[in-house]
Parts: sequence; C-alpha cells; structure tokens
Amino acid sequence: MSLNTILGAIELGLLFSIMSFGIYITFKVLDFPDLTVDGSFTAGAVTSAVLSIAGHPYLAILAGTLVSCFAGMVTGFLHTKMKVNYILAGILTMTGLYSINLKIAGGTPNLSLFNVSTIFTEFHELLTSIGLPSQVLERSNLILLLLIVIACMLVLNLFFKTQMGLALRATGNNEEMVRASSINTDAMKITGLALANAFVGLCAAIYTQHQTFYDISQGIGMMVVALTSIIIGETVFGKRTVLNSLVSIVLGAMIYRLLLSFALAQGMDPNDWKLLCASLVAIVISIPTIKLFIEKRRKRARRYGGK
Amino acid sequence: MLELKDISITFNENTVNEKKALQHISLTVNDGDFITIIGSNGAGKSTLLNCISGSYEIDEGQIILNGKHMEYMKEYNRAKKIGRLFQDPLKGTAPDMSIEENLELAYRRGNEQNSLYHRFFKIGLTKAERKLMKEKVSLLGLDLESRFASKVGLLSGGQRQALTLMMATINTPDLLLLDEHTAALDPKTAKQVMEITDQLIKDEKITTIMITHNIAQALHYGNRLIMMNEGKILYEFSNEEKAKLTIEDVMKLYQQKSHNDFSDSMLLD
Repeated sequence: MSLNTILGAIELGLLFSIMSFGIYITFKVLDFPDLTVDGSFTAGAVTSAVLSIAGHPYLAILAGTLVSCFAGMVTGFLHTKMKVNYILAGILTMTGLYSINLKIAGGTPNLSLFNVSTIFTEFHELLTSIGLPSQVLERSNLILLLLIVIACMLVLNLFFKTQMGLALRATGNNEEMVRASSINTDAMKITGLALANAFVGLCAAIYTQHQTFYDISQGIGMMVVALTSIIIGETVFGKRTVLNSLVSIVLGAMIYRLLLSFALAQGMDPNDWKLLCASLVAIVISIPTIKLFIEKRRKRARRYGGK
Repeated sequence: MLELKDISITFNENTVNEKKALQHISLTVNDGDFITIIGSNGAGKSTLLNCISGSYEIDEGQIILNGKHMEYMKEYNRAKKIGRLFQDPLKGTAPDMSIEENLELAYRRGNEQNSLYHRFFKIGLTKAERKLMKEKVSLLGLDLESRFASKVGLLSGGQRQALTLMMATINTPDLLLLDEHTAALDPKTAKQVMEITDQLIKDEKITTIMITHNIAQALHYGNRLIMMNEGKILYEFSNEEKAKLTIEDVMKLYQQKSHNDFSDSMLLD
C-alpha cells in the first residue's frame, strides 16, 4: 500500500469515528441497538448535499446534524412513550426516512457536489491564505478532520461527566436505580438517541462534502461499520474509562479503514466486505457464550472421563 | 407525615388470576416514625411500598405525603421525596460507574442542585462536596472512602447495599422505604447494614417504613409494628405494646390467623 492509500484510510477512519461516537452512545452507553442509523445517516447526507449545492456549506453541516437528531428523537418517542419494541422503532423511522430523503433530494436518488464549496474547500482556502507550504496544504482535509474529531471527543468526554451524562450512563447501566434517583428515564433515552443520531448526522453531512457525492444507498450497513470499528477499538485498546473508550473508537475506525484498504489492495471483491464485517461482529459478540460452552464441555469430560 | 387513605389495588381484575393485593388500607405515618412491617408471602407488604413509591398506580384511595397528593404523580417525581432500598443489593447502584459518580448522581437530585446549569455544565464534584461525600461514606465504616474511583461492580453485596443506603439518604428524604434490604446478605453483613441503617435513621430523624421477614428484627427496630395478611393490616402495635411483645406472641398471633383462615375455608366447603 502506498503512503497515499494509508493516509486516505486514516482520513476516512477519522471521519467515520464521528459516527462511531454516536453508535457508542446508543449501543454501549444506553444499551439500545438503534437501527435508525442507516436512515438518519442518509438523511444527514442528503440535507448537507442539498444545502451545499445551494451555497451554504456551514449551514449544510448544521442542518444535516439537526435532521438526524430529530430522527433519533422520533425513534426515542416511539420506543419510550408508544412502547414500540426498540428494534421495530428504529426500523420504522429508518423506513419512513427513505421517502423523506428522496423528497429532500427533489426526487433524485443521487446528487453530485462537483465544484461546490464545502468546509474542506473553505478550510483549504483558509490555510492557503495563511501561506502554509504545499506539503501541508495537500493534507488539509486530514488536518480539518483531525481537529473536528478531537473537538467531538473533548465535548463528549466532558458531557459524560455532567449530571446529564452521568444519568445517561446510569440509564443504560441500571434503569431501575435511575428511576429511584428521581430521573426520568424516558427523557434520558430520547436525549441519548437524539445526541447519538446528531453525531451520525454530523458524520454524514461531512462525509457527503468530503466525497462530493450523495447517494440514497449511502447509509446501508452503516451501523455495522461503526459497530465493527468500536469492537476492534475496544478489544485492542481497552475501555477502562470514557476517554479511553473514545480514543479506542477513533483508533478502531482507522484500523477498520486500513484493513479494508489492505483487503482491496490484495484483490478482494469489495462486495464481500460487508459479509466479513457482519461475521466479525457476530463472532466477537458470541465469544463469551462460546467460551461458556467449551467450559461446560470440559467439565463434563472431566466428570465422566471423556465419554 | 404520610397519610394512606383507604387505598386498594387489584391485579388482573376480572380474570381467574384476580388478586386483591391491597384492600382498603388506611395508615398514618407521623414524622420521625420508624415502622416495621411483617407478614407472610403475598400479604401485600411489597405492593404497599410499590404503591407509595409509584411503581404501581393504585385503583382507589389517596396517598398524601406532607399535604401533597401523590396518587397520580410519576414514579421519578415521587423519588425526589422518597428514598428506596430493595432486597437485591445490585438494584440500587450502577455497576459500571465509580463510587463517586454514583454518589454524585444521588447527591444532585435535590431540587436546588437540579438547575439547567447543574445538569449540563457542572462537571464533577467540587472539593468541598467531595470532602462531604467522603465524610458521609466514612460513617459506614466500610473504608469505601479510600476507593472512591473504583467501579461499584467490584464491591460486595453488603458494601453495595450500604452505599445504596447512603445514596438514598444523602439528601435527607421525607420518607425512606426499605424492602427487606438486608435479606439477601449473609447474617454478619446483614446485621452490620441494619445497624448502620438504624443509626442513620436516628441521626437524621428519617421517617421510615421497613419490610422484614425477620420477626426479631421487626421487634428490635423501629417504634411501630404492623402485621399484614392478604392485603389488609391485621394488627398494629404502638411502641409500648411492641416493647412487651415476644417472638412467641407474634408467632401465636400468626397461627391464630392462619387457623381462622383454615376454618373459614372449611365453612365454605
């Protein structure tokens, strides 16, 4: 792999770690597998694409974030107040979003942001105007993404230390205790889903500008992508504290992209990648059960002399 | 003061599994009272506490705490005034969070601590607050103050229950509900936690209702005793009456009642 491929993979890893932060909030902190993501990612992307084309690159990012955030709230409302099963609540929102996404794009399934000003072109101009050398300018995208990811990480780490953040963590950890501590768990779940999807939307909005392209199928399988990165990250780099987890997630997302680039460079069919990811997630989550099974077998063998 | 006026609750109404869990219970709990409740399984003891705390909504009657009607108040809103401990020592704390984080969560539930600023921008405890927490926790005598950053999941059941007690009383509640909170602990730890509980209730003059299966415990602690059966209050003893009671007396009263039940059902046959 060339240096360019590696740096490209790291860049995408950084970009997708923003989404992984969102999945971390729902899947890990709230213990709520949220399937809204596949739809809300596309919603963030299409909102960003439309507004970028209209000439508002910054507003595009903000609006993309808010649209996804709202989608998360809908799922939360369905689950907590209407008692819809959480998997179904996510799927319903995701399905409904498909039509909404098409509407936002004006009926077309894809949009091109070619020659449209984005936060990346603006940042590149900013760096050029300061007069930085061309070696730095070449990597302006990487620098911008690094800054954004660090900012997200700091904000999230601080958030989890506030009363609200503590309550959110406790809700996923021991719901009964939280209710006994006079905290509205329904409100906490809706807040958590809104925040998580806001991160997904932010990622999608930036992603569209980065790729200068929007497609209605961009969001498919995104949740598994994020989950794979989180699992890789936490397995390799640990999850002792919140900050530790957040750093692990960023590194995990980079490893994920590097692995993907490597596999593609080795001539793997890109269509096989999703199967590989899904299998990886399934296997890692099954490990405790498999361990237990082997343990039982051994015990039985010891007791009955291997019969 | 807590007033229960004629409260009733029925589960699975109009089905074969219909259970009249509470039948017209009336009870006045004065400020500073420490009431112990005994009764066999299914007597409605836990149901009573669950109705007061808001886990169940009552079908009839009134629940008034310090002049405020609570029948339709949401569980988490009632929790502002009511502290609770359950039999399962794992229920009251968040295992993946540190002792300090658990305490902080409990400490900030008081109203003045609950402003928007406190919710979104206040990060961690101040030095003075942390000192206060450590002083409070040191009262437990379990050396938890030196392990403030450890995750609660690493503590033993007894330690967790003691911590839950501290969390429930850190802002003195108007009412404390204890649902057999020492029953799942080993005898030595149970005694220790019960002693700590009693001391705390006396020091802070907390109005308390405690369910127990242990008759000796029910006689030894508190200033009033209630015996429940089949969703009704069977007997009520004041402090003086309770002081004269022995375990044998209580057993006898029980047997009398179960004998009555027996003859009732025979009559029906």
